[in-house]
Amino acid sequence: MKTRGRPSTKAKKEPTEAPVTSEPKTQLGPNVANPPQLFILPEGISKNARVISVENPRSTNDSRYLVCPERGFYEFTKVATPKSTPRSLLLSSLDAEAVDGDNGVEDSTDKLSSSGYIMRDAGLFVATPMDPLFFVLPVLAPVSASRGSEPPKKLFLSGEDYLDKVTAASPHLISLLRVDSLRASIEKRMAAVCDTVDAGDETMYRLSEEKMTRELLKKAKKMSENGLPASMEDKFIRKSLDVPILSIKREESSLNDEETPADTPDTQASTTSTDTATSSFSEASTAATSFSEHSQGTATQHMKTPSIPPINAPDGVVDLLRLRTALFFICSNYIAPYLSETIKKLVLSSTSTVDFAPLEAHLVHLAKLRQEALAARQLGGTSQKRSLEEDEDGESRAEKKRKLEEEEKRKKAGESRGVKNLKKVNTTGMKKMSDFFKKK
Amino acid sequence: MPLNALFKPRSRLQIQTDQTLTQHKPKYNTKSARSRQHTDLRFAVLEARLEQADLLKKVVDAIKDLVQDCNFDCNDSGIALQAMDNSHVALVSMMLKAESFSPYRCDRNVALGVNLTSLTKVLRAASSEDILTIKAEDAPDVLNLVFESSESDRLSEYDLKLMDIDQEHLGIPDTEYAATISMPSADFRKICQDLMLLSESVSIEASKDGVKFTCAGDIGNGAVTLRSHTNVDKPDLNVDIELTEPVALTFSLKYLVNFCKAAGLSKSVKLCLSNEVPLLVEYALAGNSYLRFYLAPKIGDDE
Repeated sequence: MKTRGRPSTKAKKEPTEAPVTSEPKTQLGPNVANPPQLFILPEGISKNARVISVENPRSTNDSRYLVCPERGFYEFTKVATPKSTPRSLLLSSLDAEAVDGDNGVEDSTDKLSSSGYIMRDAGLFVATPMDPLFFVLPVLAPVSASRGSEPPKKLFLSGEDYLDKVTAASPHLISLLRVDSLRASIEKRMAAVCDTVDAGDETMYRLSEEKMTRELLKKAKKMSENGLPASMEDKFIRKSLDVPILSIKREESSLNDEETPADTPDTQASTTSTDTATSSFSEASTAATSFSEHSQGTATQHMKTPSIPPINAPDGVVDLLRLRTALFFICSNYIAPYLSETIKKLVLSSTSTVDFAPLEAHLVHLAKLRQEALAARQLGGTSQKRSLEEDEDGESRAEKKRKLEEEEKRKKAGESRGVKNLKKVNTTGMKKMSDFFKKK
Repeated sequence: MPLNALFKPRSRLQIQTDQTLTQHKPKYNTKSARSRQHTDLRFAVLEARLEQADLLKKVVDAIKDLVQDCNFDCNDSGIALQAMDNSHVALVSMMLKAESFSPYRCDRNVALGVNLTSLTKVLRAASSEDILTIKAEDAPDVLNLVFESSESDRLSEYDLKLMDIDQEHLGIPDTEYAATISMPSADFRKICQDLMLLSESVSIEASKDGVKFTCAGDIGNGAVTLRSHTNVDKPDLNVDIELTEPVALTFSLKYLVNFCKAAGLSKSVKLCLSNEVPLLVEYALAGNSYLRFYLAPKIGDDE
């Protein structure tokens, strides 16, 4: 869904009280070739803030960022409705009447906003703050230096030199970096991950891997300590820590599955102030949105609410996994692939400040359990019904039940007499085809 | 300034979206089936026209009693199918080459996951002489089948819902068989049906003297022997035995009888045997297409 927009300068420079602005200038008829986009910009950004192209630290393509000399960097996150439930937005000014009455002559923009405007695509671009550190990291740790172990190559360079390299890749930044406050904030962030030396009136920086990992771990910790968004929690935490059990305990988990969504409406508070991660995940779908809001709302009070079945894992392991997931999320979004590999290695190594060993051990243990469960299932494979019931590969009971029913229904409908008859054939002494022919 | 660079969708998020959405997806791909009646043919990536619906009817009839659901893998060389029965002791491999169709077009590889019983129901609506056209779009939810009556102006159109089928493909190497027997397919069917009344398995022995099908059951024994035979007037009735070494193997008759449902597809059938490997029963079709069945031999205690 590639769209094009003309961010109106007006909209950027005058963030209104409710910071929702649009840029309908001319109405070209029913099918606008270049439909307007809706941006939500932060309140109180300075007049010199600009939307510019900066090299994306992950993909190294140019991407659009909002840069404010005072507030720093913002990335745009698209919040879209899922394709299955298309929506449109109606934009109208609150005091449409007043505008009409007061001004005898208005420009076209006012006219449009007073009569309202319908956007075909209900996507919103939300500017969310982003740490400038991520833009500097690629120059602090260029490809050659971070690959392999060649520590002698690293030299102390002045902040100026590093920023020159940044602007070489993103020329739009040059004029903005002339502002001292922005420069200072970037250098401050550099100092957080670098060893520094004072050389006269200048400070020289050199990347310290130790500081960098510590800084990133701090970020990850911050992200994970309030609880991850529900979709992440579900996919990466619950699923990977799910202990394969044999046909007990399922009753309660299925009950809880149904309770969870029912609770959501009363905790729909805190989305507007979410960080990048949550808002990007809440775009998933309406269902997912309410889920993540739920987990967030409750998570701020306490990590484990009674409505969610507790994760069965030794103390600390869950938090470790959350931390690791958050870190990997950061790596996979803001840090170039070569660098994230190094970081992952460093963080998971024994020298790191956080010891992931218990988590590793637990995951290995779980993998073993799962394999055993699978083996047990295959052994008792005579009755298909039972074997399906024992299938505990991280699926909720509700889903399994549904699958089972569906399977049965499908079987009844889709099984020919011949297939049924073949089931009765005595196949003792016959090897399976896979014993003769290799899998492709 | 290329403003549109800003509005690139972030692919990572897109993926997350999809996963969340598809988590509770029903087995059938219902996306479009509800919203419209028939496949939009403008976007068809597969379009294959068979002069006679009969071919597909018979092929599906022959396979449907062995396999329940399977993928028809379509690519530019034709439509292929490989599937095993529920107990994985038999395998069917079908290849309908592009030459068997007129015309045949496949722009992109597509796997059509089909329940064969359902396909049979749809194909039952076609007369043997009808011209059959099958179409599918890219990443299809439905398979579109059109039957044109060659005599009247009747045009029937059906959409068959497709399914997602996880299937593993086995690589079948070209094998030099110790014995290759070509015989009329009707004869092979009769032998299997007759012997099945006596026993559940048959021993096939190929030697210099000919091929001997023997069985032993509760009510008695039976044996049918065939020798090489050339009928100049009716080459369909030829029996041809090529032998590099004698072979004797035992097979389940129920499965063989099942394979013989394909007898209507070809006048003659080829049996290929080697010790320790599956029996190959091949029905050659026009235009280098084929329908092959493989069956694991019975080894050990049974006899």
